[in-house]
Amino acid sequence: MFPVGLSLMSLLQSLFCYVDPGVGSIIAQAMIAGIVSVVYTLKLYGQKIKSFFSDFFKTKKQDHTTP
Amino acid sequence: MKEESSFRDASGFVFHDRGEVLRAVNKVYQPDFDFFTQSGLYAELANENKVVSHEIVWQHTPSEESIAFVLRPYQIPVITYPYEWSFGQLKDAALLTLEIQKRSLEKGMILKDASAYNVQFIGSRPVFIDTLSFEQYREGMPWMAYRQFCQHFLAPLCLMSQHFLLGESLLKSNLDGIPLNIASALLPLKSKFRLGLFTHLVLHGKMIGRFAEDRPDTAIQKINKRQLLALTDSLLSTVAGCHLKFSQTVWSNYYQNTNYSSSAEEHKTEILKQFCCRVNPKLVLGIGANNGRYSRIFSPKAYVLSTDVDFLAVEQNYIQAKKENDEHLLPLVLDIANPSPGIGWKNLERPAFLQRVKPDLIVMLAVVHHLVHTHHLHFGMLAQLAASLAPYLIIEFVPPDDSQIKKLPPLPSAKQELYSEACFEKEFGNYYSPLQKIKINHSGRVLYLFQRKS
Repeated sequence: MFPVGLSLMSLLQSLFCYVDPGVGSIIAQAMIAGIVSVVYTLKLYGQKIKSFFSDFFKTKKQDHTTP
Repeated sequence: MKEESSFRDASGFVFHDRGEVLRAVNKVYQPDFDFFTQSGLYAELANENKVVSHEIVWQHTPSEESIAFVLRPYQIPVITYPYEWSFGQLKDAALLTLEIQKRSLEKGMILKDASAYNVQFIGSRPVFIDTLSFEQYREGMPWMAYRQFCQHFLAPLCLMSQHFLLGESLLKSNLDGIPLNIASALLPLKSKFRLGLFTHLVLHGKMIGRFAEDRPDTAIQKINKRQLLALTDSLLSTVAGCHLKFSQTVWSNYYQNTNYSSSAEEHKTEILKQFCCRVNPKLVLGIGANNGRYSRIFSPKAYVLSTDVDFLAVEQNYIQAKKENDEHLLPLVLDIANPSPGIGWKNLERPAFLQRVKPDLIVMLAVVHHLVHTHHLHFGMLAQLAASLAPYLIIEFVPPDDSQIKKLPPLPSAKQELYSEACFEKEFGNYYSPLQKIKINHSGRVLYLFQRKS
């Protein structure tokens, strides 16, 4: 699901990072970021579909009420 | 003199010079610092008062070759720590950190740490103080401070929402935040069904434990920027969804249950205004200030630390201060019978409350009788403490026949005769000279203004 290509050691050495997240936290982050980005994308599309239909029905209603 | 807590980050360090707090920026960090300013991120955040503003002061540069320059940040009136904040303060500090992380990502930067100690309060306004926390984002890199954020903010907030004192005391005893597996074990089962808490706390905690033995050269997954932004949004909604589960505590309705008539209250307010004008303090420490009602008499002119042991009263105080955009009144959770100790390296990394705060006036209204009856403290001990901290003291004496005293645990008979106005004046008189003594109208209570003996 996620390309593997970084080593935690390289990140710890090359940055000013003094916070040691641990391997488990980074793996969890990749999993959770994957899950939540899918959820957010679905929510975004859901909102788009919802607003499309609400605009559609609003326009239709206006058409009926406009003399 | 170098700040004792400033040793972890190679980007620079904080030091004190001629009464000012300064921040040295090391040459190795200069590319990131330049990016922070040139990208416009610093100007945006500083203009909105989200990040502490600073100026470069070359003349203070110590003669160390590794240092590029020195910053003089806006001077925070009093440094306070997360275990002294109310639930709402910690939550606002968390939301500020996440907002800064999100806006940093949008500008091509990322927060390299997410410690709760990076946030301070100017009155009711949280501000991010660590200007060296920003580094340039490289595509694919994870957020190295994700675990730290969850330990420093999410875990204590979840615990505080259920059991405030548990979250607060675990923060005090765990310098790098509450371990996620501990927080997860202490949370009720139903709270774990929330997606945000399940992922960022429960699953995250389990994964940390599962891979605890793995070597740091293990290959790790790349995370793209869109995923990092989604992660930040998810944390934002999880933190925003944390709420205090309490609506009432012993002291949260204190001012509805006092024995003051409205005229006595008015008179007390007038006396306090008069005392305040006489002392003209710059920094006031209010002890037992409840929701800050009387602290507000001092806060237009002075900076006031409005403290109380009751977390819900402090929460109410903070909500009110936020509504008023009050930058002179800082509500804090403080038990004066057990104030925050020094923790961390040499017990100086996060100094004790009493070492950090140097008020010129202490205000103790309707609190001494509680300390004597509940904590068995003596007048002399209270006088000694107050005199060690501040040159002026405003204190209310509640007589033994007061109806509020009858609600408290009775004193042992051997101590009863020591609780009198005469003893009170004698014991405080050892450390202070009385400047004014006024009896509150329609009440047996007395207000004193004391000045420390030289």
